Amino acid sequence: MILGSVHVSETAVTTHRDSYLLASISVVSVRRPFFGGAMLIALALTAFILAFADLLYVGEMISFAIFIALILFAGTQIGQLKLLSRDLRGSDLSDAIWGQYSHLNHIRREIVGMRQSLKQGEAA
Amino acid sequence: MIDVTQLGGGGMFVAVTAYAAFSYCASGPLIGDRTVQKSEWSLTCQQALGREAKAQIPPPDFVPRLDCNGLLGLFGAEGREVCRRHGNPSLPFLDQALEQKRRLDDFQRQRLEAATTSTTSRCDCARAHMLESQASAWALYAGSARLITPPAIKNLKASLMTSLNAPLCQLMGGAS
Repeated sequence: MILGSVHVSETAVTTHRDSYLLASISVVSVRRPFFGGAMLIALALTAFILAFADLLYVGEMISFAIFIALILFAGTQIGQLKLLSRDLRGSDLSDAIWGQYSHLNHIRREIVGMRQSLKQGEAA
Repeated sequence: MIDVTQLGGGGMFVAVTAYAAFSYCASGPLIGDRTVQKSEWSLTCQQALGREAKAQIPPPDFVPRLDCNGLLGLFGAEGREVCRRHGNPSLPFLDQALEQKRRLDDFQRQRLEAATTSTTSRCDCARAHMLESQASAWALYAGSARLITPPAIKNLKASLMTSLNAPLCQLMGGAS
């Protein structure tokens, strides 16, 4: 799942806002920006439930457990793809695409693969 | 696989802020309320206020016997003979004095009853006041999962008694 769109062609990467020539892309990065935060909140809430199990009702503990599972799921699944170009360093044009982490990683490998085939084509 | 390099960043700051806010606004008051409930504060408080109310009742007044025998009986057989001859009348104002004493006793009893019935609201006030005044301590206690126990929570009963005697809760009535 992707918020926005990314299309990888033989010469360019086209997002919903910008198009990047493959030759100009220097870094393709995929990160999980909420992963650390989600882990921290999940750990803290787990510790909270374990420490106060004598004061919490069963329904409350189940609700917390569901919330922890949702937060962990969101933290591991939400990813951000960044396309950085040497020419655009420091500008607002370095695009960020949000979506499912695994899907974005797949696109990253696709872009790198296209970039390599482009280089091989130039060399030949 | 977990990538530890992804653990830092602005997301962590947001998470820490969100957890602190959750501890202050939700988990702290919840745990505070349940802890006070578990400590049986309501019963302790009502007993303390009951003792306080009883301690404020003045000891019963001494009313000497002021009838004929009480006064003239001091003069031996002759005095008693006078009383026997004329009946044993009380002094005229004695009945009024006894009636006034009975009214005062009734008033004290009603006051004690009123003080005992209003203890619930005063005890609830103390609980709410303590939870509010020690909100940060409860947030720290809940947020750290009992790793940190601030002094106000360690000495819970003392904190509650302080709140019970706070001017705000004194206004709720009770024994004083």
